[in-house]
Amino acid sequence: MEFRGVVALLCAGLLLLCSHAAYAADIRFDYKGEKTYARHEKYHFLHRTYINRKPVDLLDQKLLFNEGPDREVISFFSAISMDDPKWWISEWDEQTRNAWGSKNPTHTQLQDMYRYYQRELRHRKLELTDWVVLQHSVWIFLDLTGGDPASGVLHEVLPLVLEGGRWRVSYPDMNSQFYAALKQKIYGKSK
Amino acid sequence: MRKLLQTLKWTLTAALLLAGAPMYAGEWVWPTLDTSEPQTGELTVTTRYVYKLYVAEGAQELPVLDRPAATLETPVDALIARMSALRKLDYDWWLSLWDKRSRELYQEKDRREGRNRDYWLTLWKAQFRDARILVRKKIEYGKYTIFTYSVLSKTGQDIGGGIEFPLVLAKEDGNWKVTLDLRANPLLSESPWYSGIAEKTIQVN
Repeated sequence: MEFRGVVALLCAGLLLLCSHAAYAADIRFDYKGEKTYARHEKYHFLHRTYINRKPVDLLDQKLLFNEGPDREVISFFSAISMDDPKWWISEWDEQTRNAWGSKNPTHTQLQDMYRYYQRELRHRKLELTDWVVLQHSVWIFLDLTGGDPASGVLHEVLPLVLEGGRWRVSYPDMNSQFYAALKQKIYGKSK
Repeated sequence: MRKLLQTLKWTLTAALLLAGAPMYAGEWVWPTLDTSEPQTGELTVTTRYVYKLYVAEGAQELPVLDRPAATLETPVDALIARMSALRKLDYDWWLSLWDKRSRELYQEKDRREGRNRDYWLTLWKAQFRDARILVRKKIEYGKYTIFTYSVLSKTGQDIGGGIEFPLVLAKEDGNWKVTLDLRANPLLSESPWYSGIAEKTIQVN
């Protein structure tokens, strides 16, 4: 009786084990090789070149209302020149503003950018060179001129988008493939 | 005069924005310093997505497993677990199969749209409880494995409108999990393995 009980228990355990055993997946596939999907995005834009160029006068305080994307770019560099990081970070898109002061790697990248421009603006002037308008954004091309002749002129581009009725510099756009392509296109044409 | 013109332009921009007009009706915003007249330009940006394609040999039907028997060791294991959870109408199991970030996104979307467990269970009961799932393709794209599958009735009739549904998986803490990482990736929404199209041109504006 005792022996039968032990056997019954063993069988029950075995059944339980079988029902809970991991299923060995056997799905067979034919390998069809490496494929490439090419996606071409075509953009139309309007391009203006700034004329009568000269170094712009920087501001001593932030803009109180929307005065246009190129004025916001001037405000962006004015903030650095005035060494006002709070003002400077307010010039960015919301996602980027939220990354400031956080552990997000964007914070470090922004800090580096701020210090870099701060160094350069000590002996360089800001000149706007090109204006490009797309469906939802404006891209301002600018030069930082003067300074060490060996390092030449610094060419920069800032993409701006409307956010709550104000122009803000878009960090995601600065890291896009489009950014590099547009830069190449405009500089290839006019520089 | 220039100031007046600028004010008029800004008023027009504001009116267009308020009216919800298409933003790119030619020029819709203007510079404040002197510039040349505008010239139109065109730019094409090409992205190439490289992936490995596998096609299921014949009709590969997925089994329905109980939760304790399922594992997440391989992408196929995770696919079987996911489709089992749906057909077993096990909401908690289904929820546990998402990666952390995607689960949060999904739950946030559910909260926003007023959906809950009952909503999903009712849906799955109608769509999946007696359904048979056939695996069609496997796509390896970077760290992701994508499966496509068809949904059939008990009698073998396609009840998914002939569509191959995609499921994206990625490894998290040693387990394969369902992820929403590719939700904004055109490769997934345009599914070249399904459309058969190897190249596409999009007019962005």
